[in-house]
Amino acid sequence: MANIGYLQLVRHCNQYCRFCSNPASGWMLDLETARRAVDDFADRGYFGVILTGGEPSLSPIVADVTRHAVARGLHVRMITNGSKLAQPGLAASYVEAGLRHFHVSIHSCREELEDFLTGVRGSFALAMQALEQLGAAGATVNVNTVINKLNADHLDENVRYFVGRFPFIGHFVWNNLDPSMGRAETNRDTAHRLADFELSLARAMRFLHKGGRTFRVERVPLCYMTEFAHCSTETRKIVKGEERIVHFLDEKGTVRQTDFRHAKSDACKACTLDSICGGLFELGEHYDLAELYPVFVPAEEIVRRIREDQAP
Amino acid sequence: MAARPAARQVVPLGRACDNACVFCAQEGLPRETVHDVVMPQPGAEGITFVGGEPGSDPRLEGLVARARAAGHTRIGVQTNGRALSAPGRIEALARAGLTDVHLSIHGPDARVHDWHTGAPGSFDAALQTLAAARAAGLGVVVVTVLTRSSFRVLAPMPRLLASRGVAAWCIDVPRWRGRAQTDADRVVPRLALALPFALHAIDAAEALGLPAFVRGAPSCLLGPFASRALAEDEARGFAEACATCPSKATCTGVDTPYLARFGAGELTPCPAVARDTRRASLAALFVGTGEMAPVREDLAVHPPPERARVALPVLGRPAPAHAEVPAGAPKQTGDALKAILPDLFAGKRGER
Repeated sequence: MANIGYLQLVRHCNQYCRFCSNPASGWMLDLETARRAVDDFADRGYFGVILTGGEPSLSPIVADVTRHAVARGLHVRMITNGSKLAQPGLAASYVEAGLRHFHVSIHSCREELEDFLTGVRGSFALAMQALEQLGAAGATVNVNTVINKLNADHLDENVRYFVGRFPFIGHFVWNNLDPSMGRAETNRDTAHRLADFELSLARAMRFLHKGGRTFRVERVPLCYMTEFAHCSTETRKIVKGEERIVHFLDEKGTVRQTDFRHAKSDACKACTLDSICGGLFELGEHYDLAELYPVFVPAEEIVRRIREDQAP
Repeated sequence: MAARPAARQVVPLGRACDNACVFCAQEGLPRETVHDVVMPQPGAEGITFVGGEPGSDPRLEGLVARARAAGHTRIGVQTNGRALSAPGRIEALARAGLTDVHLSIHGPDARVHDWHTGAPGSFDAALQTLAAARAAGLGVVVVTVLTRSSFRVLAPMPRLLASRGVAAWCIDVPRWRGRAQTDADRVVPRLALALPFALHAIDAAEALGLPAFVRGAPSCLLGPFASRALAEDEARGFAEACATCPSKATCTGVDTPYLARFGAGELTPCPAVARDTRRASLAALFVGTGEMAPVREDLAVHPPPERARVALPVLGRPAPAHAEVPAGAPKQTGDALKAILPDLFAGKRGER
């Protein structure tokens, strides 16, 4: 098992994404509390901790939290929009402290659209600079993308662009939009339907797989990623019996998630993958149980691939 | 679009059916029985009784005998095979003059097929009918509808069918009508995802000596198997990119609601395709869906994402989330965090 804990360092941000799921709450982590959380993850035998936010690079305690976590034997990652990491020196200083793995959130390779989605003109250019800085610092770099209505048709174009320009990016993460919380709830123009991204996601996954790269897909029911079901975050956690703890900087507080199965439709009862599928994360106005359909491929092969794969 | 060559004449008996297929294109039409069955004049390609489900019609044996008496020598029935699996039915029909059976089998096993038909036991019944028909010396062809739930499990179909003496197989792209329209999200597959599986299955079928066809797929998505496309009575719809396509004259196109839903990005002009005419008499056995429910205009089609993006510049700055505070609001931290993260301060870490 490779459980990873999530620590929100701050909730403010230097971007203003239309679909932000964790917008400014006014709370902010101090070093003392962060160390308590890190100690708790270590005591539980967790594999690592992910520093997130808001925009965690805006927190003054990143290096100190990292050093403490590394000393406790934890692997440390950061999910960042990269705007601040575009500055020369910051990436190298994080790497020096022991933070060597970054998930840079970029939602489109189309500059105008990326700036629109993040709400800040110039954010695409900064993200590109951040990728250069992180690559030069020798960090492990992943790209995180929130699937939404406006990028749903070119997820494959995105990965071809990023791999072409930054060949050192070996891993991608897609998070399907959560329309139930944050700004996605108040900005419905970003909410898509599952079938909107199905083809471009399939092409993107196939492209990465052919090139020997890896990826994870979160909140996508297996009938919309059947050929790569073993790359579903929820399915992997179900098969491996993993959990995750998130310390939210809002009224939700500490959430320990052990069940990764969400809503299903009647049609799912016939599906051979029902027992390892996370289902539909949120029944907003846009995701629709009517989009779920049974597939009849054998689950055993998927379970075997996940069990044989040591990667988290 | 070229007319169907030497098509069979169909004889509709009514729309009553004992299955409830997830893609039924007749759903919504009245389920009335045709009381005065009109028997066509004998022709070269013969006739096929269609439904609904003709096997449920007690007049079927008599009508087959009547057709034979009228001079028809090639008489078929399009069936799901359930009612015809009753002992003695196929034998009686063969004695009356039936020559071929056109079965619907929608997956390689009971789990897949029965989900599509909504009828537990229907797969076993269809295979019983298939076996009885072959034993009685009747020709059997099989249609499989290509759905979201079937396209990934087509691979075992060729061996299943070839080993049971099936004479030809056709993979049908569902029409965006009836239940396939009301449940389109669940049923109609994205063609660029599903058709490669169909083409692999056609290739495997041909390797086993089972002639295979596809109906309702645009030529440009059929690669080397475009010649196996069966003609339809009328073309579906075309995209702008199709206007100059050399193969348009023989292409079935794509249902227009499909284009409205997904756009035309999957379609590209392709070389002209000559239909494979060597198997015209086999192809003629696949008489198609028949009368379909009209497209319902009251059902909304969700627009494709690229159309949504056209409005991008006027969308404006996003609204804040319900619980969001201004970015510059004073920060709560330190001891105040005990209010939201009490467990981290409770001295019972590791016990949650």
